[in-house]
Amino acid sequence: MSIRLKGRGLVKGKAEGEALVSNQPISFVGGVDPNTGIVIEKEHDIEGQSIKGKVLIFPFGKGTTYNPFAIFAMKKRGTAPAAIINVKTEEIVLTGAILAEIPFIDKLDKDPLKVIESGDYVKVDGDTGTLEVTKKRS
Amino acid sequence: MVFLTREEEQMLNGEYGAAAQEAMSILVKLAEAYDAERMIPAKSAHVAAGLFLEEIEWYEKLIQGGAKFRCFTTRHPWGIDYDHFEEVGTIYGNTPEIKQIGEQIFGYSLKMGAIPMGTCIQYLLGDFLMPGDAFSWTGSSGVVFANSVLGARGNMEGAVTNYCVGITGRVPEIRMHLDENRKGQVLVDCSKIDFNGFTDADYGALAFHVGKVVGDEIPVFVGLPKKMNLEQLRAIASPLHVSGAVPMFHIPGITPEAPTLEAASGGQKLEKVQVDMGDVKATYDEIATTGGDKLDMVNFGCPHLTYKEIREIAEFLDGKKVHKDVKLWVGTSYQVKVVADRAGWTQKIENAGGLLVTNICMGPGAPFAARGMKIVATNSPRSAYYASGVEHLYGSTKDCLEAAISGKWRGK
Repeated sequence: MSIRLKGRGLVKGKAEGEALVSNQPISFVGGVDPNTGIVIEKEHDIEGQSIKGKVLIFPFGKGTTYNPFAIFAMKKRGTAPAAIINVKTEEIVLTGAILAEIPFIDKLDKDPLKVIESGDYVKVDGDTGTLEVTKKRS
Repeated sequence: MVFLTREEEQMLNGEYGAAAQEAMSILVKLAEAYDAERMIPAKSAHVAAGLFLEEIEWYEKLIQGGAKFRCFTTRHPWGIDYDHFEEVGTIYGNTPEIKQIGEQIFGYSLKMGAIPMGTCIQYLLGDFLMPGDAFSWTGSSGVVFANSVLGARGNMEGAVTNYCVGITGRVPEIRMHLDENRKGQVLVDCSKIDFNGFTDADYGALAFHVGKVVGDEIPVFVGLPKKMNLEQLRAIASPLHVSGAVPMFHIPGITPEAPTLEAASGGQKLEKVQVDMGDVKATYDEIATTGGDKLDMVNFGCPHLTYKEIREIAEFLDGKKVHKDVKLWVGTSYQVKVVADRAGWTQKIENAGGLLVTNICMGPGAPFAARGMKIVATNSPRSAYYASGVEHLYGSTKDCLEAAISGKWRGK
């Protein structure tokens, strides 16, 4: 049983992977270890989890203007997420995703933070702005 | 769909080279994400580089694609103090190899045509903006200052966007470029505060508190002194995007587009926040990350210091000696240092045992921990928040200088 969500694809390309859902803004500089992809920000709701290869779903970006290069560097080191899904687009995450060629979707017709749970399997199509979510077995 | 002029279309089609094409295509995506109607000419860009080695790949690609900055573009500090490299170093160390990589990365922005200012106070040293001018800068303190005090228009933008704006000379007309997004949203009433003897650190604590309270809304300050100088205005600008996500503030009578409170608010009735001296003093303890009387460094220069601030420090230190267990770093741009050398301020600071360091970030890129520092005192909330790997004490310039001499922190 899969769920389809439709939004706006701002960076094209296809990707798929396990969902990692955070309800908090993420800073890639200082908040994530670029060598491992593990979230290191203290008291973050996904602290200790790896964003590497995941379909990363969070509200929006935060932090310094250096975030785009952090995302780019993580892509080159193989620690970047496979795709990024945001509720509200923030310029620093978007430009990082563009540079790193990571599919990026926003403005989904259903709230991805509610519909998708960490561990669900998500197919992302940045060309059409669609997500296909297969719920994990409970 | 964003409207593009013929020249912008040509950039997007590659007629101005591969670099202009890449830069314009990123800006067009950004414009579309924010539903911009058009691009506008940018007067100024300010670029940084060098936190990640992977950036080199992008700069090489831009250079090969013929990247040349089309608008006036200046360079942020690149972390090499040419007078004291070994002693100051970088966050990655102080070896000749590190210096060489730093030089290589700096070379890309120079090749693209950046003015190598090596400072975050480019707006005081010839990056001349007037009300309404569009800019794209790295460094949040400068962005808040330029929007609020100069009346220029720019967003808190990522480093990639800064390059794209420099290369194309265009910026999407989004967010802070539009009148309707620049109106004050929260009234911050400071009239209960007695500003006699209010220090630089008091202004910094006040602004840090306000940033936390207003979040990402635009504050309108009332009840501040009628006349304010550069250093005071900057002390207000710098922490607002540290504790909060504030892109600008209004001070009616000072902010160019806000001659009156009504102009600042756009005629709207604003929610009011009262700030008193108790809030200011309580914020000192939030900015500091440690207590006690021990310290091994005092640093100034986030943002880089002005002539007046360096002179004040030099005159205080004249004939005194910094304690043997404490390092004193005073950070500015090397243009300012040329004047400080000529005026004798550098000698006074260095005779006392301090260093006047240049081209070094004293905030997010500060190499304090890399030099083995553990507890550092500063007058900058921004440095206390961003300089990582060390504990911070927070106080006025005078508190910090007295601690540098005595070797003991006496606090606010």
